[in-house]
Amino acid sequence: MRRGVGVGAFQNQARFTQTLAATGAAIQKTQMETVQRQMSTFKDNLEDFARKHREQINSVPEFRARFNQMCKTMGADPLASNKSFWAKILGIGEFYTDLGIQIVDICYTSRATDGGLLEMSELLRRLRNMRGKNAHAVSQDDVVRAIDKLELLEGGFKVVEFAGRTLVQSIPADLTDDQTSVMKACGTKAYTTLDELAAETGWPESRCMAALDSLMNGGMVWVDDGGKQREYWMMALTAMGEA
Amino acid sequence: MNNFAVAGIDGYGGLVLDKNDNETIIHKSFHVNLYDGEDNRTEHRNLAAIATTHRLVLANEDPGKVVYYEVPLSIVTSVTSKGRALFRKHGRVNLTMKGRTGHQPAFPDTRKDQMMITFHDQDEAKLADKISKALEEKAWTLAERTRKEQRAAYDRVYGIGGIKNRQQQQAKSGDALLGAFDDLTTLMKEAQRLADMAKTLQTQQAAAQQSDGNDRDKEELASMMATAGLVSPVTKDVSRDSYYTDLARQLAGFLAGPLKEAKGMLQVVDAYAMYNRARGTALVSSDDFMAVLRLFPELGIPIETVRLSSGVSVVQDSAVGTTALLEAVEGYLARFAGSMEDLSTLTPVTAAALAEEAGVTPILAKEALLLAEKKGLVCRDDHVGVAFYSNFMRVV
Repeated sequence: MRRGVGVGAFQNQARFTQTLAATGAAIQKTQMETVQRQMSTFKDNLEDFARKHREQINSVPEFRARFNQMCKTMGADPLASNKSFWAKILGIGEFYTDLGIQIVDICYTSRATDGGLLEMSELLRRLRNMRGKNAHAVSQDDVVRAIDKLELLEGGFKVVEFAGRTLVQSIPADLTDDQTSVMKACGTKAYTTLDELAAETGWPESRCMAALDSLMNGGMVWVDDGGKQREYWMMALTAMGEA
Repeated sequence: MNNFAVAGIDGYGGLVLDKNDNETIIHKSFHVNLYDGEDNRTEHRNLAAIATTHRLVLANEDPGKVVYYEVPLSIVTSVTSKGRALFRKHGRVNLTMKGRTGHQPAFPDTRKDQMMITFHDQDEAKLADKISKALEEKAWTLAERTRKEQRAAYDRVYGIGGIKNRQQQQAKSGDALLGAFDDLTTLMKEAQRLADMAKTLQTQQAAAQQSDGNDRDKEELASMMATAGLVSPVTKDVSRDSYYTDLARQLAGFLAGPLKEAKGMLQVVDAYAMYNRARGTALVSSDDFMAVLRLFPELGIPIETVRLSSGVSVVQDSAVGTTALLEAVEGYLARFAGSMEDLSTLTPVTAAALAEEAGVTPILAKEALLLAEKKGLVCRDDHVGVAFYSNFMRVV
């Protein structure tokens, strides 16, 4: 019988496809086993690493940052799940979950004063105060990652850059453009007056007041009538010491 | 036995222990007799022998006649015990002491620097053992030792030795850190290879069209990738993973109380913080937390996760819904909103005030007001900022 034609050929074809499929499956099986083996070896190596360097991971922010960066590059999120071997063997997730909750605490307490916007440097200062000197050091990179994880919970937590400053927001609404202009006008002295705002923005008084009012309603701006003119203080920009 | 002094007793007739030095009782034997040396003539019958970390105390505990005799262990030089034997009716403990304590002697007629204690209850070995241990540990010298150690430690840090030590340590940890970075790079290279391999395999699996045998492989690969942190559980189907289903039930149980207190609605962030704080350890990551929340409907748990108009996510008691919150608004309005009869009483309700009154967070209070507005309970006044007034029109 000639190959390629007739019923026989058809049968051959079917069998060929089947064999191909079987081989494909076999190849995949082998590959799967390889991955499993590699995974197992990696876990052992990770355990060795953890034993040797866990202390560094916990106490040296730069090392932790590098580790996180490398994970990100390869597409792994070491903080994603308590079931990952990163969490189980290195225990790194707990550090960030803990940190996240501390950040939530500080932002909530601060909200009464600053309306939900806190400058990053101030947050770091309060964090370090809260954690005490015996706790592991935290860097801005750590805070950013912790907030990254908090974002998943959709509570309005995020890191934002406004007018050249890094702020931590803990309320759902974003600042409008007009509100951001007010922040710019406040600058490093943390307050502005109606005259100054009007001069800097060129807005009519009504627009200035609208922006200022909206910020006051949000609890982010407080007034001080001690000076010549009424001063509008943006609390997020003041570095207020706290016990 | 000439080294005993009378020990102090407290208002209840009990032995006074030196708390500052952490003196503790380590053994007590009843029904013992005390002898000067081995002299049978001077005997004190039916006492209790109390060994502490610092002293040996012999006690007459007859009510009304309570008295304690003590000898500090610091002057005890040896302790031996002998059990019952053919010609010895009672077990005994012999102690040798050296020197006096400077206190008024409790037994002025006694001569010897030794004492013997005989035991009716045959626990002489135990007492001797405990006293031996106490003699080894010398708890009474601890204060002195601690002071010396503290001095030494201070010198280590602040003395010249201290400076040298620090230099050495920095050199060592610097090296250690370098080593750590090297190890990290090696480890991550391996991790990268693993990740690439897993991803390639996954793509192949997706492309291939095969029978069910492959589904199991797909699942297994997905599971492996989750273990490697390559996939977040939020995007994965975790309904068949007992870790997540168990966690879901635990979380649901925990949330019942807080949800009730918060009028049926809690921010997801708050629930997350509360739950982890309660756990204290083995904290749950936010990815896992969200994955678990999504499991609730499947598991028949009546808590739903809802995203509010403001963008905030909350967990809500499905049975209660927003009823309790709206009731809180109504309650507040009834008490504080004033009435149309006297326009001067009209007061707007702010989120902050409602929050405090209802015991919910300001964000949720705001949400409650927005809800109330939708339902026609309140009217918004945008004139100066945002205020809500009771909608008197609805009561018609």
